Amino acid sequence: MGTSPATHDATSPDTYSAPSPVNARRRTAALRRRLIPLAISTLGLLAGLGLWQWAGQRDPVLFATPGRSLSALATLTEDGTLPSALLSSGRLLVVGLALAIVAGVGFGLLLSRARLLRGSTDWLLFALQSVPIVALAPLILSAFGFGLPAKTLVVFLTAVFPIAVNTAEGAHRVPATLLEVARTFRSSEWRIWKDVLLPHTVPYAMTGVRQGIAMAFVGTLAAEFFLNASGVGGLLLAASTRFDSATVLGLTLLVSVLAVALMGCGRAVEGYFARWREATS
Amino acid sequence: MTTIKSVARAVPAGSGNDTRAADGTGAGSGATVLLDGLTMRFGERTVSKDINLTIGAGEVLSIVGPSGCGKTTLLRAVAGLIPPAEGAVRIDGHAVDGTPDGVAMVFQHFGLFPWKTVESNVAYALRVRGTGKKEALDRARELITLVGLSGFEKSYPHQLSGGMQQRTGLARALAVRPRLLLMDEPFGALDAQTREVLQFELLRIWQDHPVTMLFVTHSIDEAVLFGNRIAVLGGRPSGVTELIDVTLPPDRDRSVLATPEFLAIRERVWSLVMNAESGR
Repeated sequence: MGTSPATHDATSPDTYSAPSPVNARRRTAALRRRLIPLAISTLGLLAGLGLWQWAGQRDPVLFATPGRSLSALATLTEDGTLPSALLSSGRLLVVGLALAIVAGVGFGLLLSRARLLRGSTDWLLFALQSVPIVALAPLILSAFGFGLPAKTLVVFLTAVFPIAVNTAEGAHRVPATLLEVARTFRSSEWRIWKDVLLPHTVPYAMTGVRQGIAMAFVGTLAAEFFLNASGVGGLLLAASTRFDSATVLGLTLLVSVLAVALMGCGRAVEGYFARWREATS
Repeated sequence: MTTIKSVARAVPAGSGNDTRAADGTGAGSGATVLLDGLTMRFGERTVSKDINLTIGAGEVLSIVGPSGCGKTTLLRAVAGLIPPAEGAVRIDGHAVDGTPDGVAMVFQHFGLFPWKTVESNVAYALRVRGTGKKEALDRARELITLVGLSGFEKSYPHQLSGGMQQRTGLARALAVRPRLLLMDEPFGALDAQTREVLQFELLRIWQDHPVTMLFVTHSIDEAVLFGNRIAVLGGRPSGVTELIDVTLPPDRDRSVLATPEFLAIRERVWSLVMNAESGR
């Protein structure tokens, strides 16, 4: 978490276009700004694929070629193992993540209005955030019985801290003036939440959720690795132990694509809630 | 920038008088304010000591003084945002504990909700007191017209200039039909030209809806232009060093700035503030 939360999207003010009629030159400039990164990432992707192909041809045991990886995925899809594994992993991810969002956002918000709670627990939050939950996964799983609840707990724990920390950070930064405005207009506590705390905090919370999504992917695979292996993590582990590099690489690729897609959704939601911000467009 | 005249025209015919009749804010109406031995402290530091002031219904009291003399603190005490260390603030005879109904504040840095549009920001003042959505929005749009912001109802604050943001802040304060307006250097964050335009618009609006007003400002011109009286704060901890009657006609406009009386009062206030400043 090198960047400060919720500021990634607050890019330079020139990405912000005024509501006044936009002239054509400005529009092409905006288009160019979007196309160039796209072109560069496409080139990078192609270069990566080329490199992969080259490596695969040189060392067919360690590196299956992209083509073989894809056909391995196709085989897994045909015999039904991949769809059912995806379903099982997906369920684990979604349930764990949903619980993490509810708990993380809820706790983060609570901290903003309860000074005592904040003073007494925020150090704990930071301490726990730096614990590699993945490393503790075997312990957690054996303590809670290797079943779905235990696996969900692992996913929950990997995802909840970035969400809680970012939410708390946002809630903590609610401008004092706006709280004063609310007080001079005799706002009720519930309206303070609705008018001030929530709208201000949601973009921060969404930044946390995006980080939480990435962590939840790691958490899901880790939870599936140990003992009672299941889902995509189980497939990955099984393929890895029999040196089936085609399946390993194919599944890795699939997981990355899914993660990027989910993060994209997260970013879109974040952008929606932050549309009042100056630099977002 | 809209001129005073065009805004006056933008108001539906007679609406100024209608609202005035409807809410009974005729001339001289407004709350009375009593500062009774008010002492303000921040921790160990006493900011101001034993301030006694009486502000009559419909009166405008300007508060000036060197920076850091506790002008804004005083205003915040009247708003019930910070409790006095000693003494009390009484509005209409009732001791202040939290902002009373009918008191509205205009903030130096506007205090608009960046996630609300102009009309939602104005309607907010009514929504928090339980007014229905449609009624609140209708009233908000009336006020937006009154402050000359028609056409910007759906804009977000960051899309507006400072002057337009403060017009929104003013409309929001007026939405509660206040009996006491607390102005915390309302034009202090604006450029000189915008500031002047807004001063005269506020003056016009105030003359249509005269209510009691406490006007904290750095600008001596502004203090003289708006005030029926001017309280000069000074000393450390600060107190009221002088209370000046502004002997200008109640119906003021831009021409008053050039009158000898205006200049004389301005000079007097200026030298008092300078004395207070050098005495620190």
